[in-house]
Amino acid sequence: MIQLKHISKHYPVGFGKNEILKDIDLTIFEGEFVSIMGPSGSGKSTLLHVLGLLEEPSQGEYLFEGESVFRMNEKKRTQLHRGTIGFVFQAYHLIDELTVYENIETPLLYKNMPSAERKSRVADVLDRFNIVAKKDLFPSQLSGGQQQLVGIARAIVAEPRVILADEPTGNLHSDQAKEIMELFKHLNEKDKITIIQVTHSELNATYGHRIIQIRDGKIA
Amino acid sequence: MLKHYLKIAIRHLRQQKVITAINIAGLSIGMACCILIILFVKDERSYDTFHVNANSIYRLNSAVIKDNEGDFWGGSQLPAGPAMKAELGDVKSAVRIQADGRTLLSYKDKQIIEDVVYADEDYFKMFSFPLKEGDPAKVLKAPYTMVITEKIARKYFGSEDPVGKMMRVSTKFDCQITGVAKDMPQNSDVKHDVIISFATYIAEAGGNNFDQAWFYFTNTATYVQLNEHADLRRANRELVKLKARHIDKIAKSLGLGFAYELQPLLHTHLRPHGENDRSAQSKLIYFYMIIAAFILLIACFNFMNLVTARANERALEVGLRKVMGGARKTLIAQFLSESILLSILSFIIAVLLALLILPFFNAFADKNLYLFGWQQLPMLGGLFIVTLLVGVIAGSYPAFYLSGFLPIAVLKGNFKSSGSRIWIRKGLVIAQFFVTVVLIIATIVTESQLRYWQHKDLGFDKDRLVNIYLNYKETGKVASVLKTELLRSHNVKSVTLSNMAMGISNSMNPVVKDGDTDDKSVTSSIITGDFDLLKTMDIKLMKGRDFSPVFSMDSNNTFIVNQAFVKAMGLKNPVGTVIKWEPGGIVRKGEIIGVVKDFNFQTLVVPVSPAICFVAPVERSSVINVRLNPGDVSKQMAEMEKLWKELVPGYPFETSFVADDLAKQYVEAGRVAKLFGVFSMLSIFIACMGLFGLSILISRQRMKEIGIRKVLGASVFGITTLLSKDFMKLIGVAILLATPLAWFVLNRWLENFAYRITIEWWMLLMAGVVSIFIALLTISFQSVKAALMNPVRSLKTE
Repeated sequence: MIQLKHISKHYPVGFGKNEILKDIDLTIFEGEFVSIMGPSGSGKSTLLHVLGLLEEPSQGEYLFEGESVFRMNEKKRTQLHRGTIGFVFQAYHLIDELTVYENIETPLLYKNMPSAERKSRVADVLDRFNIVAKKDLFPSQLSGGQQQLVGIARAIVAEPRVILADEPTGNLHSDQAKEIMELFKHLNEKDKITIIQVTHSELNATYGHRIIQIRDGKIA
Repeated sequence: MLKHYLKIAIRHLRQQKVITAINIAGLSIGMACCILIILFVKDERSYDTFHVNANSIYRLNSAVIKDNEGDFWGGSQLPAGPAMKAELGDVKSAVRIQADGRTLLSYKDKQIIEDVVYADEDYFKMFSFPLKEGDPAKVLKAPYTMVITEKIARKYFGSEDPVGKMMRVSTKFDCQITGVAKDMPQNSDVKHDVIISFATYIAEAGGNNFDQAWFYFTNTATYVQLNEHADLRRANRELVKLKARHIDKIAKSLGLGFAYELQPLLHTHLRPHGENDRSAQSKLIYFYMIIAAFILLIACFNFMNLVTARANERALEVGLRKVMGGARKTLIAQFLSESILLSILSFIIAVLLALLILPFFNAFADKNLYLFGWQQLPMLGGLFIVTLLVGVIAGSYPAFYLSGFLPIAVLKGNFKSSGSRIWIRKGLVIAQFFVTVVLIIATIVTESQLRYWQHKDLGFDKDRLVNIYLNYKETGKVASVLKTELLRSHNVKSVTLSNMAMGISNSMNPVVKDGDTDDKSVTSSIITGDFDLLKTMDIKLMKGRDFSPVFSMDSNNTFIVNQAFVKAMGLKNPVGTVIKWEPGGIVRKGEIIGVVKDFNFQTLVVPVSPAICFVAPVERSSVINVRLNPGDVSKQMAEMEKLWKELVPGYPFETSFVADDLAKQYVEAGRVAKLFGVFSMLSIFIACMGLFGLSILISRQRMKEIGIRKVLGASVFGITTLLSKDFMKLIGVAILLATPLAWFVLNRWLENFAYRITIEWWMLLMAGVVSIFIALLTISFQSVKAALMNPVRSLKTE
């Protein structure tokens, strides 16, 4: 499903450059649950951003379902964000002015989904995540774990095929973290969603099928 | 989708109530102010535009030139109109309007004082004042005929038909009403409520049609209408020839020059003193327009500034939305709809505000302006378009700039305002305070000038001085009896009978030293009085002696002059010098017996002109000047009125206080000063709102920095200084730029006045200090709040 060939990423620093990713080759198949691990600054987040089309690599080729991502125009990428890729962030990144319900609804709005269908989908997800009672609250009124639950609900409501999660449990205590990881596992097994997560935690990494270690921008 | 946008927008606005309120208030106040000024300017510019012939009507202005100096005024001599019609091929018709001032008009038992004019028969043909009754070509043809407006008709006749009725004018003669004019529009300088045929004026003058009175100036305005294919340049050339035929010889014999000017009717309202009018009136209009533009500009900039500054806070939201599949197009639409919503809201509030203020504004500006009407549609429409534009521009920065950002940069949190944005914001703060400082200085200077006028030593005592006007033959006859009776009262300190009301201008004549030729004449004000003149007015005698009944010659042929006269004539030993002049054919000649200190009998805009006083027969006096003793003024006035009613029943008791008359001269200047005050307050207000909003945003942006500094031990004062310093620098720059400009412009303005203040350094300093103080207050409110905040909170939010 995802194929990276000789991907490099560097930023200019002064007169030289700072290499983040060096010659990465990586293939991820549909239905996999992959954990990317590595020390701080090793480039794992950057790799995730490249996978999520948020950052462009300096060199190399990226095929998403056999199609070269770099030849896609802005419109096509937006299409991918709308339906195929879902994101979960460490800092949750919910929109503060929107209620739980509206936060979850937003991706569907961008898909131009009819109102009735939108309602049933959101209701579905709320129900599934057991947060129906919280639907009219604002993010600031929720705990961290609940916020991340909403974050995940928002990521899956558009039924993406891949979820990219950047340290999804980094801000949560272990009980909450366990709950979230179980949820990911469930999504992967039952809904056949491909999941790629970046994590520091050995324990969380074990939920996946495969662990990719990164050190100094290279796959170890 | 639009519903979704609106929902978010409203929630956003609600959540940040203070900033939203600042934003809407700033823009709507600015716009409301702009609406009022535009209404005012439009009205000022609309004067006399409604006449069908407006473009072919001209006013004849004239100027007496002495030593190559002389200003045009809107009046001209009585023979000029008929002569132009007869001698200039391009002139179709000429109308003289001779103001008779306030005159007693009576019908049966109704006696009211009205403004009355005499006008030539073509008045209603030249100007587009429709008649309700009467034929425009005939109503003012015959002597002793008159036209009144509906307003006057209602007042005197109620529901009766006035046509054919006789009205008594000034107790002297009767006029028959031949027509009734519809009430005239307020925006006209040639509108009059009581118009008597000019033939009446001639008849009353014993049939003298004044065709030789080429150097006799009365309060006459002459309007001419040119033919359809007239050539203005040719008309002007012929006018010069006409002047050469009739006037040059007389003028030359008096050592004077003379000039005419044809001024388009449409220019006369804003330039009352001719085409090259330097008076404040014409300039003020442009000044107001500039101010309106400035205030609107400041308000718009503020609005955009706040919206865009706030947008930085929403960078995260934009990034997220992109990640969730929000296309650029939809993001742009979202931000634009939000800022347009805000601007439309401001517009609605602006219109409501303007409606609310309009009655007060009308009272203040002495106008009758209205906001709703089809004439105002273009203005309201224009402002609405400006509103939308402001909304679009303000929204387009976040819309286009942020939405173009790579979401990851925003999500990573290393998003910063670009250098150019900060530069623009700094520029805006400087520009706003530049305008503010200029306006504050203008307020201080105009206010000081006004105060100087009000408190200047006038050379006579203006307090407790009352004028009683002797406007009729009968009242003139009893003047001396009145004086004696008045002096009996313990309320009256002193009384004089004169021709001078103080603060109201009087007659001028060329005076020469005996033996000199006419071209060495000094144009002097002629003041007549009696033996108590100096005593009553409290005018200081510098040399020689006062008039005294002891000297028989004093009752006619001795003069007291002022210092300006001595200087203008170049007299070394004024006392004893013989002077003479020839008023209307008779020769008046005599010795100067005294010199008085200059006293300001005219407005302080002009220097004291040379003046001579002499004791004249009682019949020549037009005013009884009464100096009252301290006491209850209303009781004293009632007592005098009672006396008047006993002596001359049936004649109106017309009086004025000299102090009030003088104050009236400064009404216009006072209005300007007040306007400056209002404008500078508005501009401070709007600028401070912008500053306040910006300081909120900036301290919010620097919250983390403040938290860290506090943890590291920074004091509240230190942090407040840190946050205020950058703003203070900008305001400093604004003050440095604004002060010299304000000084220069205001100095030019002051040069218009003979008696003026100099701009002191403290006035400039004060403006600077005031603006710094207000700005500091505004900023510190927010920065102290930020500095006092618990650092744990601010660090946690990151």
